[in-house]
Amino acid sequence: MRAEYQNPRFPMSIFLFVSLCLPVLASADQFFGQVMSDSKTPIVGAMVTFRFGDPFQEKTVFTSEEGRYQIAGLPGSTDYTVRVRRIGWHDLVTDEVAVAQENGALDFTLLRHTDPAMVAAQLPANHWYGLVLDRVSSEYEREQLVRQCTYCHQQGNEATRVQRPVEEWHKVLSLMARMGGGLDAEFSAKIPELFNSAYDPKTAVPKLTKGFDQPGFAPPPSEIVRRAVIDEYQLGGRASMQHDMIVGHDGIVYSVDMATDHLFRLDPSKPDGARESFAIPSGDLPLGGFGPGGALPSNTSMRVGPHSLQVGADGDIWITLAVGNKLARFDTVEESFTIEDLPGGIYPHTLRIDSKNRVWYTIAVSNHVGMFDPATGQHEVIRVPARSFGEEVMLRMLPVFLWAGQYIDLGGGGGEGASLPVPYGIDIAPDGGIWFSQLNAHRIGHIDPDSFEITMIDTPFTAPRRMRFDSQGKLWIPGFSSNLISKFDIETRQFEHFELPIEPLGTETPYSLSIDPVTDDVWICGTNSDSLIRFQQASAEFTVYPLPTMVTYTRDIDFSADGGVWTSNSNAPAWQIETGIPRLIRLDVNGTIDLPLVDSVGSNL
Amino acid sequence: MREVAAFLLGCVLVQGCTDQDALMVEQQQKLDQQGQRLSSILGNATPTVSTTDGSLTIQMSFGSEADLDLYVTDPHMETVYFAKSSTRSGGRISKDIQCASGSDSAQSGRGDQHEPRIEEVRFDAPIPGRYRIGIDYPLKCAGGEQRAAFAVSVMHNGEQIRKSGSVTFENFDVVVMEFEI
Repeated sequence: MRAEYQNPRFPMSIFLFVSLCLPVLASADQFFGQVMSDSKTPIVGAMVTFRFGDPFQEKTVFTSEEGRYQIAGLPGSTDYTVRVRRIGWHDLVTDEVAVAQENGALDFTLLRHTDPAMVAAQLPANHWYGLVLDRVSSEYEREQLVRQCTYCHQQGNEATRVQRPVEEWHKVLSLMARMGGGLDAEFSAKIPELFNSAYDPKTAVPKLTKGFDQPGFAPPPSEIVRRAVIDEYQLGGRASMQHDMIVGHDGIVYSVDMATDHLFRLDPSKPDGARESFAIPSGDLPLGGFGPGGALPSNTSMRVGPHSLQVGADGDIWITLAVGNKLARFDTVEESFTIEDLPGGIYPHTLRIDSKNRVWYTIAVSNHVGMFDPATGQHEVIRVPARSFGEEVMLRMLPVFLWAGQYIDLGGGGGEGASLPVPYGIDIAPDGGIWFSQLNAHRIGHIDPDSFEITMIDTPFTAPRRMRFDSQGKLWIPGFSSNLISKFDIETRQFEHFELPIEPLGTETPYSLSIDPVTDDVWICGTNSDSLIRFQQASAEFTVYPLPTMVTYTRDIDFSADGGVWTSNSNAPAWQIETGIPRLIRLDVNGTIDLPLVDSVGSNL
Repeated sequence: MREVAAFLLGCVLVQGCTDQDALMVEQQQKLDQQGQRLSSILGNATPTVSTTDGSLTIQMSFGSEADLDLYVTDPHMETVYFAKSSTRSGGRISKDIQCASGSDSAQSGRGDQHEPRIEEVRFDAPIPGRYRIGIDYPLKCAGGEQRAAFAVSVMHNGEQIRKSGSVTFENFDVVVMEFEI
């Protein structure tokens, strides 16, 4: 049967509201069909998304050159809501669809957007943010803008590309600075005019949608990308911030919700993608824990702030509790936590586990790297070099400042946050050496795991963030504010850069990368562009995989043994995400995971 | 000699602390009084939009020396505040009351130095569950000090709950009050 978009005069907002209330009633576990325009031409690269279950799961496939799609591996015997999406076309959601044919055939017809503003609204955040960046001539200010204003959420998404009164901007900047993203005073004063002019719809929309009715506008993803299947699993609620995720040895996926102090667990092998959560003990810590004061999210219940996690050799999950200043160990069999107090430092951040089962972790605020050996109980807190003597003194006085700040005005408000060096990403080299990045200092460092001697190296690019070693012992580093990934040879100390191909160039903010343990492909978070990016080392080719949900802010990537590439949507605040709720996301590059054997339909797929 | 110097220094420090304590007590008393005055203002205030049966109105009153911001989080854990003027559950904020001084405020038309300075969040058909009120103190206005007094009121089904207190500059008091309807 066909599902036509029959009433183009119907207001879109009402259309979406109605459609979400009326799911497709169908019992099939697979569907196929064609997505056509109202002028009967196939639409290539449209995303066809089936939503089902509670908590919901969404499965997305792409249409082929002939506009055909095939989706399988659905649970069957359930209601579905279907959305068909392609930039330049009205989203089609299934209020017009009653029941698919018994064989699962389901076609769709999309209607072209004629309003440029609606096309502009469909573009990922980085397109809009590019308008702001274009107006900044100083490289120093531009770098600040990219690094500091996208710490927790996308810039340029629907919630952030707004014009505000000047005073309101000052308050937004003050909040931002107190949450860790500060600009210098001079640049901070320019922000209201900069953003208000860049995001003025009168100039922004024509720029963003130039030629939107021409074939070259927003080209469809390549044939390679269109083979992919993307699963998204709702996780947590509107107050959640699923900071990091990890795939366990058994294929179970774990995620930490920093804002609600919960560890989540997803079993993707279960038909309903079974999800459960475990409250992390917080003792008698107050809201915000020991975290640096200032501002917490309004809806938070964070007392320990689980931030990052790794799987130990025994399958236990190790977690940094950032504002609790602790480590947690979760026994996956007993389903219980053991909490380890830390002897020093402020804000344990990202962690890795070495071959001796020692836990190494960056300590972001106080500029340390920590080590805990569970076998012996040994703790080490290693001070990382500051950029200057003055900064060293400031860092050592930090606990005093944080305490005194509760009682007296120490200045630094209104968007003028102190730019601490911030030890950030960390990884273990094949030779056992510990490597870490210092995000705001634009450096990486090496720690001898036995002597704890530190060597620092300036990066020839800005904002090295979460990095990983490949199987050949090369260190891959994303430049968060420099739109590149860099391969670092720890023997020769040489860097080799690869610029990210996200359009418009220079608008991406790669938060993290990870290395596929089988292929050595480098996978990069397209944090500001709703994408995952693959870099194949042998061919030096990038492939950009668009993700279906608008405002997908990603911070980490991991892999399952079946080839799944996993990440999570951890935009903070969650309400900016298209549905207001975070997700765990699995990208199945070739669409072969969990696919039952079915008759061949849609032979052009 | 050294003992004498230590004794004198101790006296100075003790005296200094005593003076500081007295000052803090005095400041707190002043804030308490101001909070009570603001609370009484809310006791007499009517919602800026007429109240309908079953609606929920949360108001915050504060003085002209500070720009305070009202945050209300609904049972779905979604928040309405100056930078997000509505929620999916129907909450909406009246207007953002800002400092009156300075050309920026004059241009925005939102500065208001005349009391009562009241920010208001309303839910016409509030969903049942737990609500949270938070208050941030991001900007000092002319005459602003390190702490600022406030009062909040919750009106629902003909009942009103009020609370007064103070917040510290550049600190966001995330949970000033929680209540269920």
